[in-house]
Amino acid sequence: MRVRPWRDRRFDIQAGRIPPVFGVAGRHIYASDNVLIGTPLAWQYLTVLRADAVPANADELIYARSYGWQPGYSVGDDGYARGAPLATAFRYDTGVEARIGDDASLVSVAVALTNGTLSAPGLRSSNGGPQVSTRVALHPSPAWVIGASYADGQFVADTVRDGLPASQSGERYPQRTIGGDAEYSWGHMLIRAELVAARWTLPVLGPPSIDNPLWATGLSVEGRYKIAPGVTAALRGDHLGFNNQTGTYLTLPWDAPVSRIEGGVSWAATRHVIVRGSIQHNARSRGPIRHETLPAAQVTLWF
Amino acid sequence: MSAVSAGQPRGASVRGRVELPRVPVMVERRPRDAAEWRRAVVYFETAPKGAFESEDREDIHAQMDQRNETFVPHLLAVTVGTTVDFPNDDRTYHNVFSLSKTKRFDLGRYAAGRSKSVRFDRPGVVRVFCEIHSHMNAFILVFTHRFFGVTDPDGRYQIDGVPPGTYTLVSWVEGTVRDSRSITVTPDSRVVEADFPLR
Repeated sequence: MRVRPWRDRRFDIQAGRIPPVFGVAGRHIYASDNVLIGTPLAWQYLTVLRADAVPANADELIYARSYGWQPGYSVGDDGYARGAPLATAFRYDTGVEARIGDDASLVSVAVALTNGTLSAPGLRSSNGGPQVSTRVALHPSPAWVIGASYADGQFVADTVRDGLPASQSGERYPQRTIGGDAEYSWGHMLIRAELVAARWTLPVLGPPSIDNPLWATGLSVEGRYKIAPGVTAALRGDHLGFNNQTGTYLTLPWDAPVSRIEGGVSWAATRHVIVRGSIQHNARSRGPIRHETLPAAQVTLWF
Repeated sequence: MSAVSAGQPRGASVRGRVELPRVPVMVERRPRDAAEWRRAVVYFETAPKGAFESEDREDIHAQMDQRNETFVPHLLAVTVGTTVDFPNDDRTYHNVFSLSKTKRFDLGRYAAGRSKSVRFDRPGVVRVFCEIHSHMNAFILVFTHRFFGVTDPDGRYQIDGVPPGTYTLVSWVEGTVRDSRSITVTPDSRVVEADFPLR
């Protein structure tokens, strides 16, 4: 639901399932606004962190590196399940958002209070802790948009916290994320960059101790050029890095750093039918697959 | 309201009223001008004989403004060979484009105070959009003759200089042909009334 209390003022409120306020990539994932088929790593790549299960020590965390599609830990849900990205827009969070200003304003501000976190949005809260998120955007000229974002919410689920020792079950284990974005466009060209830096605090349960906070930083840079009416080419470079954790024998980034480059073309056959083709090369420092080149094609009908 | 033409043509005038349904008021960031959306085009399905003989092929310009995230006018009717200017009078970027077979174009992003132009060399319907603001859309109808008229906010139209003959008059609204009727202009006709009531 979206309400504009005053028609002549740039202020509106949304409530219910809402897209992320944080950053920009989350609002450009649809084919009508994304030339490439992939999305930036920070918004898609599954890290080894889970809200419903946590590692008992640093060794468990390091051992799970690069297995974000099914990490498993001994505290909390003991099954295997997908890890969480730094942020996601493939599922909307639930809450309320207020927005002042728009792209015609010099400054626009959006603030949201939601149930989940950037990496684990949901219909209902799993930990009783709301997330506060915000983005402030500056439009110094029509060619430029510069934004800064912040989000802070409880990450670890109650099902995990309830099983922790009494001294730790009442602690707060949040995900705090900062972001910066910039966009320059003119004529048929657009360049966009976004930085997402997330930090998590996990329970410290046993030796070797997890060294909090866990950091993950994603940087993506994309350029687009419209070749002809309805035909746009794009190229995006991406890197996702992690800070170190020290286990019994090794000191390593807590997840395997990933780099990606993707290039592609989008063709609007009609206004509502878009055909896209892209090729993506991924490189990772660990895991069963360390290099992979993926071609993809997609036909989208949007309305 | 009347056809784009040069000079004062001789012949009868065909005029009337197109009755249109009410446009619901939408609560948007910038409320649509309801009057702009309550317009139709009335045109001759085929041009009268000799329609082009006295045509001056001078350079003709028309304008479709971008204002308050809206194309103004929402409906523009021009003749083949007209150049339409698209000035941006908003503070934000717009990116005017069309994927219509009649004329595909993409003007890129340009800021307030600047204008770009497109010449329309083929007859047909051109659907115009803004790549940045998906709610912005407009129509440009390109005719091979000048016997057409865009209605005013009350639905009234007038087409001047119609030679004697029997013609099919068509009303067109928001992408579809609404209605058509046959009219006869006699040598001593001065005004022929032709209304299109709402069905």
